Amino acid sequence: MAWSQGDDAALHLLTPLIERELHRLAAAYMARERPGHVLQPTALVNEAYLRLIEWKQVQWQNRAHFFGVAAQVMRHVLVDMARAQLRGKRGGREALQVSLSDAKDAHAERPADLVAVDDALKTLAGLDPRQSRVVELRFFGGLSHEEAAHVLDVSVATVRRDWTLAKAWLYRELDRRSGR
Amino acid sequence: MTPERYAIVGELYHQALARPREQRARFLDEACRSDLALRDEVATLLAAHDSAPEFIETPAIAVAAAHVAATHRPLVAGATIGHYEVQALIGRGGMGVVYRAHDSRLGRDVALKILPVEFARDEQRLARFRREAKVLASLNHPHIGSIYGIEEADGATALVMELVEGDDLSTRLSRGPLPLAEALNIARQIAEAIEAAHDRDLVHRDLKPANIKVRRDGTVKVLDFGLARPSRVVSDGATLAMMTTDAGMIIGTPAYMSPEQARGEVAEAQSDIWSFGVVLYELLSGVSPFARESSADTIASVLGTPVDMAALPAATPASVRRLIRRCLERVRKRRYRHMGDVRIEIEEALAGGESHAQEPSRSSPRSQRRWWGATGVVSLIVASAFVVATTLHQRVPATGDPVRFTVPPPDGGMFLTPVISGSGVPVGGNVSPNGRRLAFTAKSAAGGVQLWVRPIDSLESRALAGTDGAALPFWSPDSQAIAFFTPGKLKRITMADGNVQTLCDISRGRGGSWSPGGSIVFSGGLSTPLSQIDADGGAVRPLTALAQGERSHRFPSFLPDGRRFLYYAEDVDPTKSGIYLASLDSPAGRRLVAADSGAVYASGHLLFARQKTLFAQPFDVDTLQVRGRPASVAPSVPDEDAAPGFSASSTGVLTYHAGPQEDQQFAWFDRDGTLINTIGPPGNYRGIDLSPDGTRIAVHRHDGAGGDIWVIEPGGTLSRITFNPARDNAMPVWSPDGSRIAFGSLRNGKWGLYRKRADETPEDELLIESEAPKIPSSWSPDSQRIIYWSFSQVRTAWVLHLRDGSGPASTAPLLKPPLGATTHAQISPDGKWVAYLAADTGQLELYVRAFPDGNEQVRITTGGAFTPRWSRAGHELFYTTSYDDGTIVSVPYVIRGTQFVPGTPRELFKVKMVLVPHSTAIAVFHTYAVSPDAKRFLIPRPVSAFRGVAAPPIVVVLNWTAALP
Repeated sequence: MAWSQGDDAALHLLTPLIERELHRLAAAYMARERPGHVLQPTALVNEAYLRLIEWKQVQWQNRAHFFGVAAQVMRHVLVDMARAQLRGKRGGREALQVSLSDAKDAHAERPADLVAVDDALKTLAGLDPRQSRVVELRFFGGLSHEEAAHVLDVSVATVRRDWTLAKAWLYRELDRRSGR
Repeated sequence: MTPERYAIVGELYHQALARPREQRARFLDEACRSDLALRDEVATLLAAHDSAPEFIETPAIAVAAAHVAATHRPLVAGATIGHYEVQALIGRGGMGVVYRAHDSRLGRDVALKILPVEFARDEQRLARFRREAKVLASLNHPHIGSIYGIEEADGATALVMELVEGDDLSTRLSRGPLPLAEALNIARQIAEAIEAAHDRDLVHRDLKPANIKVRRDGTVKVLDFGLARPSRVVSDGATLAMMTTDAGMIIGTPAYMSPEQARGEVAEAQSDIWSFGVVLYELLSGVSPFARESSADTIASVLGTPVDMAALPAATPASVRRLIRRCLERVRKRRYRHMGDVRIEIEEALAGGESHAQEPSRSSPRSQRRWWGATGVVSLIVASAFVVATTLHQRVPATGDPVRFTVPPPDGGMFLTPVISGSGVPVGGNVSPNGRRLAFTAKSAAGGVQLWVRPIDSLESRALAGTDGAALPFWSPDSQAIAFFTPGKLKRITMADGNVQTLCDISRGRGGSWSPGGSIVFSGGLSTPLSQIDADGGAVRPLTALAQGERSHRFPSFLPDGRRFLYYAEDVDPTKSGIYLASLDSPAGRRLVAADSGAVYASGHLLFARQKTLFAQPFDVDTLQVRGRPASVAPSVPDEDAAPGFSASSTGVLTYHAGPQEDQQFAWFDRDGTLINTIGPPGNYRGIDLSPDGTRIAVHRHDGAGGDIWVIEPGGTLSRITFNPARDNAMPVWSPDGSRIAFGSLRNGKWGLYRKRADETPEDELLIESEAPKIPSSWSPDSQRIIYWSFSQVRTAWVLHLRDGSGPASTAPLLKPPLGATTHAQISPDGKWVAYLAADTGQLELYVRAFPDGNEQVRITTGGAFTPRWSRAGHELFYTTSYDDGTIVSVPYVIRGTQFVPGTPRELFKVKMVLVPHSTAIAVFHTYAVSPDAKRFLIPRPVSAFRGVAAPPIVVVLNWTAALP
């Protein structure tokens, strides 16, 4: 991922935010609150944006641009965490286990993990870059159809079409790629 | 896939989605036309669309959070949940993380399984699980992992379970399949566990190798009962399905799911039975029967792919194969209903072997165990042990069928003796006097030739240490020791302590016998008479003396009185060679019978080989006279050097080496004689019939101990049809609807025509029986009549009228008046004509006449003919010019009114067809088949099998005298 200066800043800012949000959500899950209540990733991004616009050194073309970048950052951070977990680098602290897949136990159930989605998404990007972006915005960034249409400067109908096709393709692709 | 192509796929996808569901298929047909790949692309995407509405609708961060919540617990060593002190993480599966913890209250180690959040949040599910856990706990079953309780702490729910040390089966399987006895042992324990749970209405729902642990001591524990949620499965055209959790992204492992579960139905007890079948299959074969690249493909496989039984080890007993097949029945009506039945089947399969699988023998003191263990090479030999076990445990029946089974050589080894005699005498099988054990010499895969012992009712043979180079073993009368020859020496070994003692020097061992009085009579060289030595050792004393013209005395065998013995004498004058009788007191021999081998006395008979056939002749031990006539017991036994290739005990056990077999393999040829493909494994086949639809081949397959009917399935795998212990089944013929097979069988001294369904149902339906042999030949298209060959005084063809449901069957001769030597009668596909071979002219020629009441016959051939076959495609009759090396000939014909008019015969191709040169076979069996479209021919071809000096398997017959006339 080619980071611009602003992107880098976003990364630095967002990563801890994302981690914190992750744990907040996790705690909410464990406390058995209905997940709908706390499911506001855009709030997360909003918060980051608000902080960033105070950072005058960074020039953002517009809010859409930022959201687009934020989604990329989210993707980067979450997938990174997932990969790191696979590699076991985040050991020591048993606590932080984004255990989305367990490569060691080939016979256990393998949830389709963020790493797999990320890989498949890269493949999709080679077939239709915009579809890949739509998925990135909606799935990783948590944006709605409308918000994604705004970021990409296309119609909502286009986003919807991209989304359903990309979803189907990804699902099929993950299914084919997932082992036993 | 290129971006351009993907764009097209996408366009079609959206257009298809825009249409109502019913019209999508047609739309795709028109849009894609012959581009099937494109159609498949779009179709699978549409299916994915339908299957996964929730897929990635939940943003990634929520998913990540859910998993963090589900799988993360601030549990490190030292942390506590309730009064449990966490020690270490020991496992992680889809159903939560497992820790080892110490119960500070009860002072024991337990396993703590942290349940996933979704599980714990589902109040209903949790409540049901609590109920079931209580029932399980009350069961307290040795093979079910105990659940001690459910703890809640810090917002998480933890299952407190019995801590089971040991690998789970999936770990074990990653090292390969398990040996048969071990697999069955484990399967039995699993079955017991499931049975106990089912009895309390508890269904496991997720039985798989990962849920089954095996402790070091071999105890099995089934874990995770009832944890699996009834899966939410959505399928579209049975090609795609998904399993989801709330997070929307979990794709589970459906490889062990039953078909009904895969279809979204609730799991029941029978689903566990299915899963059990999958596990057992995997234990034995090392491969999963249904797992494929993706879970969607796996589910499709579970729903439809036939189970590949050929992946099971060849040594897997038929009963176990049947068991697995019945567990993996997709139609629940045909699947086992009750786990107890499964358990019983496994126990029976184990019955002969289990006690020996763990220890060397029932009566083994520690020392015996020690030295047996030291020899290494414990090999598992699988015979029809369950048949043996049940028979033996009932005591060998005085009446009834003899029971036959074969003993193959140890794993990877061969029966043979070393070349001390220079001729590789393939003799070794020797049953102990008490009928309980078999001693034989064999060369193991690992190394040289040794003496092996196998209890008759066991799956295992053991090599005996200190017996290198052994040959021609013979037992002591009390069955506690074995004497044998090695290069240059006569030795004995005691079973109890394994002590080997050299008795004397010899130049070449040629058989010995051990009397109850403690004397051993033997031949120790070429061109010598018999000598004698005390069984404890000592000086060798000459015993017999060669008479004028005699070349040698060999292979002595004591009679029950321990003084008299039989032996083989070879004379310059062949008419003087044969079996002689002498005694320790008066060693001058008296000739009893002509023979080509040494003889053995058992059960009122003399057993000996003559021209490679094993005969039994009544012999009165009191008057010492032979009586009556010899009866053939086995068609082919080795007789190298006149050594008896057989042995017998006074308890009715007979063993012999089946004679060398010629194997064939079936191959399809086209009308030009070009080989298309081979099908089915090599074997000793003696008669075949192709099913009416041309897909399955019924074969009469022989293995030296007997013949059975098998079916070669389209994939080339064999399914067995007949299971009766006597195993004299012959010549299958398919019914016109392809559902049944008729065959002839000799049982209890009577020949019967039988009919049974062409699957593995065990029931044979007897149609008619009598003393005369019966072999079916053809089945009329209306299924009402079967033509069969029967030999009483005159060989002739008979018609059996089946009156299904309206009275007993009746028979009538085929031809009026009955003519001699009419064979291979076959009814035409339209049922109006019958073709047959008759030898009116002195050689077999082909005739046709109207069926069933034709009076005149039309002669088709003049130069001789063999097995005719009608073409189902019409207007062609085939025959072969010889039963082995011949030509396939086609005879076109037309029907003019009521006349059968043959045209000019046309030779199609020459073929070397191989058939066992058995006179009965030539006379009666169909040796090849024609495909329904008459374009291909199924022909047995010779398979050159290396036999070398390796002896064929040992055949063991219990109650062998029951088969005598």
